[in-house]
Amino acid sequence: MLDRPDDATLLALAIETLQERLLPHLKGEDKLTGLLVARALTIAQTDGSDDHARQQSLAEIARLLDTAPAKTLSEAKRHLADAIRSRRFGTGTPQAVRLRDHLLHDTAARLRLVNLKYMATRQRRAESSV
Amino acid sequence: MSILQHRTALIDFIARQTGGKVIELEIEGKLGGGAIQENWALSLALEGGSHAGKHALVLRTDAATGIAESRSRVQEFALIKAAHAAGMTVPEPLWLDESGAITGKPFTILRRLSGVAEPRLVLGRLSDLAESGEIEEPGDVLVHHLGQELARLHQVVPAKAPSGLGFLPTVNKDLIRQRVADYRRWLDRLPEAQPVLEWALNWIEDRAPEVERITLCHRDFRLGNIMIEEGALRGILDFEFAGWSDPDEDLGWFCARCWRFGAYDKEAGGLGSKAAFFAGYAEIAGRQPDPQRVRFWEIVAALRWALIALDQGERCFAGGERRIELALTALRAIECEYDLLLEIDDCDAPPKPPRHKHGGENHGGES
Repeated sequence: MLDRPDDATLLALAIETLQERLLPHLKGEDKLTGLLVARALTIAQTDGSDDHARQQSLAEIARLLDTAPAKTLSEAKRHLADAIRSRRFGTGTPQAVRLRDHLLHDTAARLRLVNLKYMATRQRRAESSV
Repeated sequence: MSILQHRTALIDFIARQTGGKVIELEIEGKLGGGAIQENWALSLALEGGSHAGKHALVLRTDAATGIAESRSRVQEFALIKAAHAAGMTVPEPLWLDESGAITGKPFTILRRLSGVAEPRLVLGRLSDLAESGEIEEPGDVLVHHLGQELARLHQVVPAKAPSGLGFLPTVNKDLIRQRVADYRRWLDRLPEAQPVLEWALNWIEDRAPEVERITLCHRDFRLGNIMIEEGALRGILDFEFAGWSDPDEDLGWFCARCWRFGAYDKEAGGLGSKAAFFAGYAEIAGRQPDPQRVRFWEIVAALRWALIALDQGERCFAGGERRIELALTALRAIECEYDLLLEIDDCDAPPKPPRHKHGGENHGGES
């Protein structure tokens, strides 16, 4: 709803202010809490700007399930989870490989948002196994 | 309501339990750690009775909200007593109030151990000890000892269980299928679907090894629940998840990547080698752990920790405990999902040909 400043600008300013003006003065438990707040805001900032990834994920799940895209990612993941539990993808089939690739791609994208360092430590290839 | 407001009632309680006179009871403050419990440091001086003298103690009670898997304080007290009787190094269990009449909630009082449980502090000190050469391979020495400790607990079997453990649900050799069903129900209780965890559960169901033995298991045996001082074990804490299980579950939980605290090359808890850990275990248990079975349980560990992390988030989002630590813990589930995808891939891969000294592709530093 807001144009100037928009929500992204306000969030960016809040993070800058926290990191530059507040965190240097915090100590002990307060410092740890401050760092957690900064981390939460940074994750929210990155996630909020990544609508393209959400749309891609919706489209890929629709392809996997061979249906029209769901209205929300939450709904799409529910359908996908149900299909996995009901063993719709079989084992060792091309569909199973596509499913595993989608899950890896989607998980890697979410992990990049929340903990890039963790991903780096794995030092593993994460590309398609096709 | 804080424990501080119940000091007088606590003095009466301790006097009744010991038959002594409380000369001094200082409530030193809340201890760190314990996301599901509150731990309060007490300093007690008693005259006469069963425990005359000065004591450093911990009062352990429930936090405002818990998680589904967690045992009650009363049950945990019985489990610590059983572990203590089996020779495991645990805080001596002293007194229990199961009525909730003293402080508003049931609590236990245990002897306080010296040392720290905070993983980063433990790992930092071990690193210092290794660099100084004071102890050769201090991490391996420690995990060898931890293997022995776990084996002592695993000597408690259902057929010879203390009567106080009658509340533990019985399990049989169908344990893994029961677990899969439990974890699916757990997933059903979460507000958001978890496709990766569903996928991993299918794999666990398909690859479940036969359960060969059932013993008492800690089920949260890892750095963070182990008090360590100068690289040496002081005691095992937190029996809130303990129960009958396949003993390899404890070995897998300890070795799982999610419990290595960044020290990924040290496969036994981020502290030392699996070889040293397994050797310590074998000395007491009389059997060498099977690496493949332990690996399977490492995968189950990643799945279970993901579920616990998501539950921790729900304590914040839906449980009324608005703490940013809990909200961020929910995100740890994503790390577990990534681990599950790669670890399962590794398990399914055909055996690798032997590496030549200067050839081949390096896929990572993990052994």
